[in-house]
Amino acid sequence: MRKRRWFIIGWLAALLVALLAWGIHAGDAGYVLQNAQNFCFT
Amino acid sequence: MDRTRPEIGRSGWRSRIQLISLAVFNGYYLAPVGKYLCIPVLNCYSCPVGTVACPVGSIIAFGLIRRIPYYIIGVIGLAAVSAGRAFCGWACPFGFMQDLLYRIRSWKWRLPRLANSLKYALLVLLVIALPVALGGGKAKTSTERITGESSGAIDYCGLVCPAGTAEAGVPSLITNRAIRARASWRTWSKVGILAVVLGLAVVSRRSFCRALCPLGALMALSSGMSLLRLETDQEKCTRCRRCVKVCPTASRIVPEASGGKEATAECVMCLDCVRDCPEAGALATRFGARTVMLSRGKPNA
Repeated sequence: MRKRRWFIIGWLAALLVALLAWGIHAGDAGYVLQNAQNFCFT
Repeated sequence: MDRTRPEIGRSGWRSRIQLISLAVFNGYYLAPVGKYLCIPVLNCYSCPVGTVACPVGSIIAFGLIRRIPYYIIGVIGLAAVSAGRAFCGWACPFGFMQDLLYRIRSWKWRLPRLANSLKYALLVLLVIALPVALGGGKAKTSTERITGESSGAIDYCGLVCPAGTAEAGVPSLITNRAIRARASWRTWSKVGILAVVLGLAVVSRRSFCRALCPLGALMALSSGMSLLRLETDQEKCTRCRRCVKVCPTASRIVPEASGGKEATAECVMCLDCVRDCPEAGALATRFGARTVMLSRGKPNA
């Protein structure tokens, strides 16, 4: 049971790291910043 | 007076970390760097002093231009897998505000457990489905989302978010005449929602987190697979239900109440249950295989 849990957590973490890397590669972080600056009241 | 060093899980310790988070996430000087980052806390990035980007606002912004937010899914998912909803309990500025309000002496009431499911409906409808369907593939600019004046602003930021209203909306309405002039009925309805949420926080602990926070709902989806978790020792647990009574989110913690599972997705890892557990070793907080905190037992609890 515990082994299975570790297996799922491992794969889930790897998938999420891949998504994060892909998002950064696709310019998501830049869009987040642009959007934040767009909304910011200054 | 007790002058011993507070242990992890005592609310004094948690309050200090929440205070530091409040200062870091609203430290104006960090804003130019930090707004690249989505941190899983509800802190409005429309506020000039806000230093990080709000995940809910960012997901809506991606939805409006019909783009999948891989970066945000990755950040929130990794935070949930590593620490569950500990960010809600230990770092969220709006959660901290509610914790402070709950300290006001008043009549107290607990939201029914059924209210917990409302936040999932808000997540699906106002954060994902409606922005994608009605946004028209076009991003909104400047004050539109906070004042809710845009015709397409049928999203969580434009209709509900009390954190945005408290941190950006109300200060802007007070200090900026131009924004005050553009305020619509939606703006004032959001101020009303904020007043209700703050009033409810005085009488019902973490009521907003439980019923209305779409970020909490998002974190809850993957927190079941978290490395940081609560575990009960079924042999030591006496089913006194003390943990359920002190839980701010009405989590089902005791084995009999959860059908064999440990703390549910609602748990924000405040650790009040571990601190108040009357049985030594019955409740434990673990990170992976390592025990972070073990209930010591309180004879008079």
